[in-house]
Amino acid sequence: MATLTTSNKRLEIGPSAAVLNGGDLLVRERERPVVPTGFRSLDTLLPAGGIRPGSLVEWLVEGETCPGAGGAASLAFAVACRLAVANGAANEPSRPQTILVVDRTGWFHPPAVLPWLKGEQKLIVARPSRDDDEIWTIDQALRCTGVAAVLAWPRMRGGRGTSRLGAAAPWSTAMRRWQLAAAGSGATGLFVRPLSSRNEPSWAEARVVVSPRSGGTLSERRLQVSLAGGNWAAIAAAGRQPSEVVLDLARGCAGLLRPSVEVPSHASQGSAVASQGAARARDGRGGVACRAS
Amino acid sequence: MPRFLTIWLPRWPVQRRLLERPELRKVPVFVCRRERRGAMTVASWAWADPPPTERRGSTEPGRGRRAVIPEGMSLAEAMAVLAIAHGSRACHVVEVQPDDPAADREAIERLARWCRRFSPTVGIEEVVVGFPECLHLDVTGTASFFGGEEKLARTVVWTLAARGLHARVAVADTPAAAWAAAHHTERLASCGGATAPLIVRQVRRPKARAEGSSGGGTRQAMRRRRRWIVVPRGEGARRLAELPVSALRIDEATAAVIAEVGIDTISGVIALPPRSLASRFPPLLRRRLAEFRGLVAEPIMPPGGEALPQISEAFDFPVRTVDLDEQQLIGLIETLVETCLTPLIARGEGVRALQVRLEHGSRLAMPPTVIDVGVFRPTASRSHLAELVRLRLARLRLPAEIGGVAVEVIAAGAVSCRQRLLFGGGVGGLESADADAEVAMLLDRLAGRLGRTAVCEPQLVGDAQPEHAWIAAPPRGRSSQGEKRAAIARQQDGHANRARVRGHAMPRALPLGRRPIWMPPKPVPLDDLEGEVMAIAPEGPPVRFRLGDVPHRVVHAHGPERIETAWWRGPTVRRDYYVVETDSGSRFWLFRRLRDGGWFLHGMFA
Repeated sequence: MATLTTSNKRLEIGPSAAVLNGGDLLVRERERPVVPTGFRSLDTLLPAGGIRPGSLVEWLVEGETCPGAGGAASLAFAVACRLAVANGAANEPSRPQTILVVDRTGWFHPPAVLPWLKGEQKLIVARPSRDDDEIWTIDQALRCTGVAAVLAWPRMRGGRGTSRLGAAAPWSTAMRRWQLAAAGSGATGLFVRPLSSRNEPSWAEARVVVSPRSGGTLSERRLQVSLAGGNWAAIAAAGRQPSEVVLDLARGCAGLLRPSVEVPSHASQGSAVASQGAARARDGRGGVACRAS
Repeated sequence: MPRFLTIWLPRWPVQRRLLERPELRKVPVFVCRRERRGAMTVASWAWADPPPTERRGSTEPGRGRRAVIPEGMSLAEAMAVLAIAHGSRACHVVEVQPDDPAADREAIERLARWCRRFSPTVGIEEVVVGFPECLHLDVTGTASFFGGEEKLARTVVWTLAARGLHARVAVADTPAAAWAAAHHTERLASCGGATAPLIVRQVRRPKARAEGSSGGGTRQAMRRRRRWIVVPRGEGARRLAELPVSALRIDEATAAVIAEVGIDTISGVIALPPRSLASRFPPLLRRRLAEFRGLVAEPIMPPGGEALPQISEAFDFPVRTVDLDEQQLIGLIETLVETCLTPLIARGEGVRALQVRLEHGSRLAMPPTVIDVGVFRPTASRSHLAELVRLRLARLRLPAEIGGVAVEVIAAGAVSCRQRLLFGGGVGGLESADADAEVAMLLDRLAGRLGRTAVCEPQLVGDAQPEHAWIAAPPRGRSSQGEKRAAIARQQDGHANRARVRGHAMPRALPLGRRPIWMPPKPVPLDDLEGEVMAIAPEGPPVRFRLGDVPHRVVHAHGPERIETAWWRGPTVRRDYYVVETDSGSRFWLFRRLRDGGWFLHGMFA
């Protein structure tokens, strides 16, 4: 009987298919297994031990320019790649393998992350030109069961609205729509937003503050992550100590966490090394010159 | 008396490419053929939408004129002519493509099948074998269905313009006379003027302002361009007698022989004694003249294949848009779409591209409002197509009155059908094919609202210049292994062709981890950001820099990565790139331009 009920639910036969109420969404959400992010310290930080497909996650970055130069967008994309992995383990179900990036600015540079895609993973970029188009695009993408993750850096901000429901109402309303859409389809929304928006209401399951740390090598990025809020479990876990992740920029996965190296306080050493590199490039003996003729 | 309609599609090889890639309308497109010893010669060229400054002309000597580039000119010479007419900047954006007569032929055959809506007998004219540019239609008795020959010619021009094609159309007694008239509509309009009962019309708002290789002219002449003409019955030989000899569809050698005896018009050839004509000139001239005068029948050979479905619904009287509910209009369109889908589904096919035309009220002689809908994989879903049309309708300004609706399938393709499993696959209940279908429908919706160019699947290309390291390709569905191998081979072949055309070798792969995820489309000079850079060594890395009001101290600088490339696009790009890490941990991608030492921000490792 239990098997039949599960099959009916899967095939969406019966009343639950016609009316998808909040209870069904909750059941669906809890049925979905948590997907590890691939970064152990980040998994430890997140209340669910990873990211639950069908939820929203906000990545908050310092500074007013979003996504800035702090590495949050790279980390979010690496997590999106992990969410889009199919048959990652024997007991793990098949998952969609499409990642959709909503890039209103036109500054997203795919060559940085295309080498991170594995196997049949596919990257789609959508470039809306207006606010309402951006909201609609994210909403449509999160409703699609064939999309694993939606990565966006929405421009819309709360705090300046004139709605009678409050200053942050437009953002909150849009995010609530996205949360319902994601919960219905199983797609995950990853939004990179400025840290100044942490006081706005949010429907994200977790809000992760990403701060860059200096000292990594050229192909690695050291980032500090901490929890700033989210759902009740995230709020309860917000007091946890910040942890550090190392992002391998060449492969888009976790790098080796080494003890932090003391960074020289001035750039003379780097300048000297770089000058030597410039000299090598000038006389054609080495360096990383890339030339097509 | 039989009547024939000829459709001339000037510079068809270029038009075909513009149809496939509309973004090329803004740049000069050259279709070149490779001669012996690797020399490239121009087969056809056009610049559909030159920038307004180029259209207006320039004060510099030689600038602002139309570039006259005849067929057969070498590509290097053509570049020089283009640079004189439009400046060297035009040469930097030129798109050079190798000729592909087979694809041109295939495309015009599809168009010929599409033209069966105007006449059951449609043939392709090939004056030069392998380079078709004309279609002949036998419109004897069919013109009355369109309200007469003049309205038929106008409908043909407007319908082709709605598909993005620039065409000249003529109706005459013989295919040869119609061919001659279609190629000389401007001359007939100017000399036929007041006394002739020729019906000559021009399009009110010509969409295609194609600049061509044949002859020069002023803006005034361009404005006078005629698009269709109707030669009265029995008047062809007389009305068209003053056209040049080349209007008889003869080759250049024959035309040169005729020119040697001082004859430059058709009337001069007609005046020659038949015996002299047979003895002194090639037999081709005699045959062409007989075809022109209707003394010899000219067969029209239709291409094979089935025509794509189309249907139209004309209202009894024009309906005002304000009185029309959107749901009613969508419902009507959905019904028409279903009618078009029925024969396709029977053949196992689906729609790849659909066009909906809203005809204006009868009192307004205006081109119809066109809604083009394309999908990334063939679909036979009526509701999905109707949803895409609805998304486009929501962003259109509809005409005040609608006289009818026409739905037409522009392109079709095989639909992959698969039996669904009862219990789904996997715990998530989502199979790979289901996910692909869902994604395809999502992409159609996004492209329907945002535009097809706003949705892309990025692909790496072998270009060392970071701005050109990837292309925004239209999304593709997942394919089988065999299709994938063929696609990769085609892509590699395409890249190799491109590289050969541009004369440079493929650069090596991108250095992993050295490219920022956040890059402006063009490098931003730090001066524009009110920034400044301080470096200790003259050619060393930056030590400090400022972006706006925010100062940054560099603690690590990786580089330089020297990039010298793109000499074929204009001035050579010569840059020294540095990945700089600031004391706050932020990473930026800066470069110094070697030409003048200027610093630019070209990315952030976001």
